[in-house]
Amino acid sequence: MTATTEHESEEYSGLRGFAARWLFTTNHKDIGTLYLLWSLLMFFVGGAMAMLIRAELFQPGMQVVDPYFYNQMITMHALVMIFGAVMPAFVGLANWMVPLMIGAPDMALPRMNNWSFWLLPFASLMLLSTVFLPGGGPSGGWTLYPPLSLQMGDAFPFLIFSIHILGISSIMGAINVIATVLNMRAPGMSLMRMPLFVWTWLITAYLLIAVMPVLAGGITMLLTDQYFGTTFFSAAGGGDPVLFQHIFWFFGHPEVYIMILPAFGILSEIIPTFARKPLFGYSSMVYATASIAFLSFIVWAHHMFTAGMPLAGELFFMYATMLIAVPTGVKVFNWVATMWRGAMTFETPMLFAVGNVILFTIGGFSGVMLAIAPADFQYHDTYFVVAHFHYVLVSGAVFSIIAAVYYWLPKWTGHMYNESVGKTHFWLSVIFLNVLFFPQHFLGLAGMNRRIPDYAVQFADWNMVSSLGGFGFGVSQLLFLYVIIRCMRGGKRAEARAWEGAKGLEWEVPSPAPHHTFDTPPRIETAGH
Amino acid sequence: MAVTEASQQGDDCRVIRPDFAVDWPQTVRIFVGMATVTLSVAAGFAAMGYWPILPFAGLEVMALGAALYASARRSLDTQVLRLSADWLLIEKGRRRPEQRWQFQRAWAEVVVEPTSGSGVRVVIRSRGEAVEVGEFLAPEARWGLARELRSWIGPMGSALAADR
Repeated sequence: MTATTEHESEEYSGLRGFAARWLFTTNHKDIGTLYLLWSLLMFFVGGAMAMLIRAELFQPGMQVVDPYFYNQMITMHALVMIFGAVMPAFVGLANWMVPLMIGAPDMALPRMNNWSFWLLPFASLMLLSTVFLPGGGPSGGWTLYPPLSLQMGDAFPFLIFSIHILGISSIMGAINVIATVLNMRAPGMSLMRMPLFVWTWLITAYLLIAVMPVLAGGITMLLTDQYFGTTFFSAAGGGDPVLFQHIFWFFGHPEVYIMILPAFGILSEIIPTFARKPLFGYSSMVYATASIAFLSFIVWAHHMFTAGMPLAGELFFMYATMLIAVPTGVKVFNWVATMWRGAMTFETPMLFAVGNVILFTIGGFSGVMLAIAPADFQYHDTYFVVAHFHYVLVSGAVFSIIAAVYYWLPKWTGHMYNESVGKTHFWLSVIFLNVLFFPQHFLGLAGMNRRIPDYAVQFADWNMVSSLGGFGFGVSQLLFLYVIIRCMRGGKRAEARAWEGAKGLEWEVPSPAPHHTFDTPPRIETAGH
Repeated sequence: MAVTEASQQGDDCRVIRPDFAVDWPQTVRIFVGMATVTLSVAAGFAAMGYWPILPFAGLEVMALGAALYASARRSLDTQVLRLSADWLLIEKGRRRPEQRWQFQRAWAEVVVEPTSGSGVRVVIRSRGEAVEVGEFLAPEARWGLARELRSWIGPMGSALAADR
């Protein structure tokens, strides 16, 4: 009679073990790492597309690419950054941190978690491969408006299929987060004691569940219009192409909040840590997040003011959009109040967090400008809109992801990153980001259209400045890659509580976090953390 | 996902159960809220003629409901192992014992078996019969459970380990 006594350290030895670990893993930390690494790769792929765009726009005239390829880059840059980089990064952070923060040993549905990750590279590669198909990749913008999107070449069905798979991956991730948060919290971890990052992710998952079927149905109708003779969006057959815009933006606007609510959660973790004060107004933060989520369902048509709608509709969507400034203002106020008279230090995560608050607010201001329907008639489809959403998404979503990586990297790797390089990364990023996007406000107000590869000479100077900022921002991100690789390979040992002011269950486990955590239930004592 | 604890009855009893507390009514309320919004939106679009959104919404709500039910149901899993001088009694169930095995302690052994993929399962065997325990544990935690059970059940497990 024998007993198996292999030790767990032998479990993943050898090439086969390595493949078994990373291909078949059901561990939330491994899957989180996979998501984050994939997201980083896509960030650089999407960034390379942005470099091409800015290279073409460096001067008026056509220099680098042909206009059709330029349009493909515009469309693919958006799709890759949204579906390949930002959303997976947040899912990766949720995978790593949500179970640790609520005292759960893993996600509720680990096998589904593995699936939801591995669908992602498959779908992303399918999406990228469309560029090499006859007729080229999608080039009508990420919004896929018909009838333009129906004029695509062979890429069309692959694009629709890849978006479907990316959507399934997102839905599976969202279901897993909801099941984990609702059913796997440690005893004592009531909803109103959860860390804000967990709260914002729960609400984000709710948004995903609510709007993803709308996108799935919308693109399926595009597919059937193209290949099965339906006329959902064809006026010739009694359909209405404008209604696709309604469908798309009913998904698209909550999608914007799907990309920003987890960022708010990250800021609400980082700022109290480095201000060494509890988060000001925890409950109001939760209710503000829920309010933003609710409002995100009733503002979609502000993307369509120029498409034509009754005056009452324009007024409703204008005022509803402006209302979003109220809960968002509550959040900004609370972050500032948290910092007020705090014992602040400015390590890299805090720098990115403070930079986020300031720059995201600039994006918020231009958002309020765009919400004003009569003014939007002037701004619509200009570079002012491009500047607005990049201030929101780059300095809002991307900066928060970078801040989160710096903040939790010691917990993930067991090593402290190089603070000097981190700070250099921040300052270069924040300077070049403003050089890149701030002039685009001027270009838009002066009337430069978005999605054009060539432009009038009057826009040349600010475009050159913007491109220089773009190249600088792109090169600066290599520092981020360097920091991550260095930190993974070694460095000063990180303590369990890597940051002096850090609170929360994730800081109770050793650094690096063991493969399995919370074998025994943790004690939950303090509200909010 | 689980806690192995000595029972209040003494050191001769071990209870293995998930270490989270599910508030099922709360979960149901939140699910109903999510399902209502999602299906209402889809029904609204369907009423305007855009019916393909409805089946996607229905499938998604069913998947969410199934996921919540499955994960909540698992939280009720309880396994009780009782040890006497001669016998090892294993009880499994939700809310109450639903299955029961009795092994002679001298012949009971704790085995860690590899499963397909990278996982393992902990099995208690005795005279041709085998019972898996701690199946709701995360894979890594099963090693710890096996070690604990080996030292607890008796010298046989330790002796077997030493043999190797």
